[in-house]
Amino acid sequence: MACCGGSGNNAQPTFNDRKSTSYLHLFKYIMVGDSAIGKSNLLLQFVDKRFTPNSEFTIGVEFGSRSINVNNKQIKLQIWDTAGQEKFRSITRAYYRGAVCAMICYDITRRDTFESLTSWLSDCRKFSCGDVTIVLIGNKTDLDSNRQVSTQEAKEFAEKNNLLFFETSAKTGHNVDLAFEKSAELVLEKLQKNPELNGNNVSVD
Amino acid sequence: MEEEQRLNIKKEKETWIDVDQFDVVLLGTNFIESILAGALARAGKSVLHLDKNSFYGGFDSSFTLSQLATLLEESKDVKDPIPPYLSNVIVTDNSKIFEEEERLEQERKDKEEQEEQERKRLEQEKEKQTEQQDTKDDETKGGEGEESKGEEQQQEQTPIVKKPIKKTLHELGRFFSIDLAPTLLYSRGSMVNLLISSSASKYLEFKSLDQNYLYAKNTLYNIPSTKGSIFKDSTFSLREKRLIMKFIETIRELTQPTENEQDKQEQEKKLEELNSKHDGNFLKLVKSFGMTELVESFVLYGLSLIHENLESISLKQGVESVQLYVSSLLVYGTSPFLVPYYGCGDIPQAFCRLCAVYGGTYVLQRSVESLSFDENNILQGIKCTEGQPIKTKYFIASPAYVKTLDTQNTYPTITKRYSRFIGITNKKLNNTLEQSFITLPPNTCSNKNVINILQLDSICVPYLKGKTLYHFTTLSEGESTAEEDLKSSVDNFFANNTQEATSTDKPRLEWSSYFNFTFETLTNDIKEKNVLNKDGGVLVCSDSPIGSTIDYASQLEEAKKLFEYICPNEIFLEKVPEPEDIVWGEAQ
Repeated sequence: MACCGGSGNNAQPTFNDRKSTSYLHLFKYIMVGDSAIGKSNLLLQFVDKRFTPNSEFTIGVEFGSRSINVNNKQIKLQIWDTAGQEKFRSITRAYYRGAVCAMICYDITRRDTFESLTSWLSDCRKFSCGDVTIVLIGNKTDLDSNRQVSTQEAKEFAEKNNLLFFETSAKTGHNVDLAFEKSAELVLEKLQKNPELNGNNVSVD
Repeated sequence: MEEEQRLNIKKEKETWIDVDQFDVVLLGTNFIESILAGALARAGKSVLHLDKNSFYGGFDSSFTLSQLATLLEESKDVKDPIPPYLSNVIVTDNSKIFEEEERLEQERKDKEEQEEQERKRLEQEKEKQTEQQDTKDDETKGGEGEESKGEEQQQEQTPIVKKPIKKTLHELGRFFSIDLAPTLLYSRGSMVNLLISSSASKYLEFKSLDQNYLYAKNTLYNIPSTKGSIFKDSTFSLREKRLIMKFIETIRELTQPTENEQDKQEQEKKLEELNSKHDGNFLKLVKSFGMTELVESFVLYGLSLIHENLESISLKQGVESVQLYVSSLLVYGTSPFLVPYYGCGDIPQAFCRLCAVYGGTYVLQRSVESLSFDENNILQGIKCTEGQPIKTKYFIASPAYVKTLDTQNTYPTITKRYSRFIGITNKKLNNTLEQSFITLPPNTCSNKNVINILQLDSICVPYLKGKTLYHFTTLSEGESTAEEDLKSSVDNFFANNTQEATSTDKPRLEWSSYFNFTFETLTNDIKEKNVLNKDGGVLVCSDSPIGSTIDYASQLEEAKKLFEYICPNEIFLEKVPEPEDIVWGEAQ
């Protein structure tokens, strides 16, 4: 697999630049789904517009943030990665806490990752408190020739379970921004109806 | 078909582990194991962390109401348990009775309201009829029209007036997080300091308590949070207030952090003087102030929160405890204490996450079946309940596991037992602030030892809407059961039925449980030995040693000692760079 980042290696934006941006809301997003379906790469593509092929999960990196504009409001998305704990289905409950949006991902070229969705979905509903927005992500559309899960089937699954649905490619960046933006819109809408969704607590630091 | 089977076998192999060598294997995700796992991974060790349960934290976890009820129910059937275990379990669930009472009461009210409305409607009709009688016959039609309109409106209104169905306690309980052994954190205590210094605090949310109380002479005394509030207080006499302030000032002078070498020496000299004057005993120091009985218990039980073996607390320990209390005031709120928003069970999980971020491998629902040693009794590796053997230099677990897995070596421990009560009521105690910590000195409610009471509502425990959660904890000596140790204090504060609640204005217990919690810890002496004894790589750590339910200093110390043994000269939980501070793709 050749390296094919969305942008070159030079003149990349830094996380420091984004730190100074002021924002109205901070949304905690979590990524779930089986191992090796590109969750970390989706995160990196969205946050940093890059793609690392054959990446072992990245040591020391656990979430990325990016500010986006939703209905003229500045929203900071903080996207949490599983830190490899999904490998033996051993994600901490604490990971789910306070998340307003969960992205449940599968690999369109691996049927087994689609079969796991039901149990990921039930974990999300069980461990995330309140009205969490759930997005279904079928990743790796760049490998469409090896597809094992049809768009139609996934769409039906999403409709049945009341999920947003996107097919993406973390490699080319296809639909990645859209998935985050559309879900953020929905979260914001829910938040405006029920401001309690995103409670504030003492953080010690 | 064959192909499928082959794939399945292959898959099974793959689902177990693809690495068969680790620096350290830990079994159990309780406090000490989890902190240690985080520290070891952070220092670059390869870590495999297992737990036989399907959830993190074992007895250090936080439970939903139904999980808690199941756990308590299951504990009743255990014969000859080995620590940690729960015993003498009594569960009283009156929630259905109260909910039925409330429903009937609501029905009665609704009926009254309906009757009232009906009465009003009839009156109005009567008035109208009188009016109509006064008016001419040809206007009657219009009157009827109005009347039918009124009826329509009423019909439309009825469904809107219908009240939303109230969730039952058990429906809400699905989202509670209740600790078996809740612990308060000092705002300036070692756990909060470590959470901050290691940046593990980003995984947690905290709430600050509102107020601490001392219960004595049937009165709740505010334990003041500031100088100002002591003097505003109306329960203590002026002389008593001066004594309290004098004591706090003395402690402050002894412990005030200072950069100045001369001041430091001065402090040490003073402490040394006091030490020799009072035989290094905290109780003697307190007695020397000539306090009234009330002020004395205020200082010994309210300001210092080490209560076990009061006579033998060293002056240094006692002074440090008061200093910690005083310095933790007004840091995040008026009370010196913080509680984790989703229960203490999230703290070990935070360190597990930290471990995972640094490459640690986590497998729940998997236990260790056996350990293997070479001819010199040096650990070679472990074997799990399934899958291939795994090589490791160190194996760390709590006494119960180690004793059964490594029968060649002895690991002496001491057993500790607490009496616990957990109650959910319909409201908080009168004249208290919502999130409160109440200390009952010995002999207040025929109690032998100090009882700590924690009162929390939905501000601290999510989804506890309209309910209040209580934790009672006391050290249990001899064979006494939790009910024997705690019942008189529980009955002092709560009512068991609606009648009693109405006549006494006490909170009504809707769900409650008494139980004893027994666990094994290592004594300080053994802790030293454990670290110095190079017995071939098997290390023991204490079970949830909840101490006096305040802070986690002893757990941290133990984790640190084990860490220093495995990683000498390495930093214990060095701060993790903030994700926002990591600059991608740019050279320095």
